[in-house]
Amino acid sequence: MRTRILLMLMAGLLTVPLLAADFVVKAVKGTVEVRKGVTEEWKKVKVGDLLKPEDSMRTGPGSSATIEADKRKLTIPEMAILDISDVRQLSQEDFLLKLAMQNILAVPPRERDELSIPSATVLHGDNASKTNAPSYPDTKVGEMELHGARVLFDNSYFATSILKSKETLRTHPELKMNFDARLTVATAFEKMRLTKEAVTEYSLLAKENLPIPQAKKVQVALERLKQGK
Amino acid sequence: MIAGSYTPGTNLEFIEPGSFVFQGDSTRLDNARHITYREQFALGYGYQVTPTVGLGVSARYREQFITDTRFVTELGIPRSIESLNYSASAWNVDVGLNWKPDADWSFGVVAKNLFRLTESELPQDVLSYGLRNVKTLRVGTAYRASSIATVAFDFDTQANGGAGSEWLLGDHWALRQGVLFGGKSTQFFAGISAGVGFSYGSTKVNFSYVHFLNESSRTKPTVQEFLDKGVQDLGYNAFTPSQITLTANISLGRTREAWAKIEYVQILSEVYPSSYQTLAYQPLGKARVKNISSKPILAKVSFFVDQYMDRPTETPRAEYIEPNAVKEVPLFAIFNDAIKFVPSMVLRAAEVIVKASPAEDYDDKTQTRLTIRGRNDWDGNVFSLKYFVTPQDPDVMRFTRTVMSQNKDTMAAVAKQLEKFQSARMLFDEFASRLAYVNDPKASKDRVQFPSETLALRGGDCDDMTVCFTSLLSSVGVSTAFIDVVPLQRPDEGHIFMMFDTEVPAAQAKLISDNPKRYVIRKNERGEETAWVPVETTAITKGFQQAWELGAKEYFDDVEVGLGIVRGWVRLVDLMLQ
Repeated sequence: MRTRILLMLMAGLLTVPLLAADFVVKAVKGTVEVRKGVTEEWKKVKVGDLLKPEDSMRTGPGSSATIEADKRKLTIPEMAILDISDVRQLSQEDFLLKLAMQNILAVPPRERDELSIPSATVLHGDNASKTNAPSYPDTKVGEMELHGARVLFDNSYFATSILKSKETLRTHPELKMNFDARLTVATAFEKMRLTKEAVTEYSLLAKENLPIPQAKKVQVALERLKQGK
Repeated sequence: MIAGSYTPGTNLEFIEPGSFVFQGDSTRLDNARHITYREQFALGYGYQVTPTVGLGVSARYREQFITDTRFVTELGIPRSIESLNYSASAWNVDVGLNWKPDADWSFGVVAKNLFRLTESELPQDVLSYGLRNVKTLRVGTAYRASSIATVAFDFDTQANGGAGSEWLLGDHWALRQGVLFGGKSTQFFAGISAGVGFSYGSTKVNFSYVHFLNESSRTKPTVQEFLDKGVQDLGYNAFTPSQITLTANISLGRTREAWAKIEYVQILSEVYPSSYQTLAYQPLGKARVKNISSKPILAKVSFFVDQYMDRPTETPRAEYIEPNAVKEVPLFAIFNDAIKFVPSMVLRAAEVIVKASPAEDYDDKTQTRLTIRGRNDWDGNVFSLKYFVTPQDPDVMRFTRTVMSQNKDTMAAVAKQLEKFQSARMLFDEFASRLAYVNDPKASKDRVQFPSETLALRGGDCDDMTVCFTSLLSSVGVSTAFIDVVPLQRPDEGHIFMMFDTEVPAAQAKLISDNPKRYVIRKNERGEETAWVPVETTAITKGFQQAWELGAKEYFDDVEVGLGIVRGWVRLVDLMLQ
């Protein structure tokens, strides 16, 4: 009986971090905002507010916030965006599948014998002189999301840190030269003992024209991984 | 099959010698008795009851002629003799059964002289010289020991029997040899035989020689022996002499020799009219076919349902089956348009036919039951739901053309990147202004309305609305996908909504929304990443904006937080555009 209770408690402890939890705002400094679910607006947050997994938090310049759930405390520094749903651990299986999500979500190629749904051609009027609306490559938003990913890394949420960083770098190609963020991804892979993935990330970085300190870090890491340390 | 035979050589003649010498003048009168039996004509009919069992009935025309002598006396003294001729004829009927369970074994049984159709009988005083008509049961078996050798054995209740073998020399020639035993012979082994056969197409010629070991007892019996043993079978009896036989057989009609047999048929699923076209490519069942011939065969199986198919649908390719082997052959069905109008579930008989031999029709056929569901029935599989999407339906086209035409000016002002997004928004809002969501979980379980029905009825449940809006978007060239959510712990709470491709590049997705949780970045077939927008079609009364918000929230909760796609309880089904 005692063994069973112990096992149940252990199972409980193991499952808690895997679930996205509600957080409570414990401290706020400067401009700290929250965006609820799928709404568009950012609203100021105050101490004691409840943050749901579908919410996001944003800190302005010189600002910071501390949130807590299940005795897990997280401090978000200035100029960062954090999705609350990312503050959780993922099993390695879930993580690797999520990493491949880009391919899972891709529209599959048409199969030869699959019955296609016919579609009619449609014309949207005859005004062909429309100007393209301005595009808004929000580099700043991308950088803030990378900062949020760094917060996850610093708090040992390596899986969600990698996923967030990769997604941000994918949707903000202009941030490709943010070597710090890419180095964080490589290090997170290493921390997760996914050596092959870590070597791939470090090798890609090694091909870039890195500043000397980062180049050195990459070289040391590759040596370390090759020696299996 | 009906057969007839004429065998002029099937006759036996016995002479009982006798003479009378008159006293005094030594005049000698011949009073021999002549007995002749003939069996020259026969008719037969065979019927293949199943591919392995055949029944046959035959009638042999048997004639008997006896020429006797009678003394003509004067004053008690024989002066001369006169001939007395007796004859009798009858049809003796035999019934037989043949069973060929596989390519190697065959078994037969025949009841001979089962009954007689008598035309005339011999008079009582010469009846003892007539043919015997004892009811006899004859059984036999043959076994194909190799591709060229067959051995056979038979015997009957009159203690006649035989054993022999046949050796095939190529496709046309055969050598045969055997022994005969019993037959009221003076020794157990009565004789030996050898022969050669030739066959070409429907023609067969056989030449054989039978040598009896104790010839003298057969050809010169005493009257008493003759009367005791009698003659039952003209082909083989106690008095048959060594003989040469030549037979020619020409089959003028069709012969049916089954090469393949259907062991069973299994229908794998019911037929849903909405997705009937898939059954031309995906098997709806299978037939287990056995090669019952002695050679490898190529078998084709056909499937046919009267009224809903114009002709039987054959398997695309013939299946190679070794002798005695079995193979499961998939069944396909090309239905005609009548199936699209089945109002509710019907049960139909389906015919399954296998054809392997060069025969004109088939080797075996069987019947099975097929359930055809109503036109609106749905099997609950989200992959099948796409067959309810009908973007080319005139009602759908009319709806979208009207909306697009009415909003022509608005569309002209929309940025190029947002055309698809704006089209979807306008169609949804127009859709919302005309239709209402009906929350009927029972109806949504297994029944789906076609878009034209939803538009006509001005409403529907979750599946109906999703299918209808998807059809509307598809008809204006917007790519769509179903999002099928079946929670692991609560499968009864399954739900379907949809998303569409705005074709806005991922890097410009902020044109749609600042919040990335409101769209899904997906790679298309060209490898370009675009933003897809989830829409909860049941929120139709709330307008596009809220239906989008709800769809996006559901998607984020189920896919991002709940890891539904990763864990397999959320599925995306893309609807391909032509």
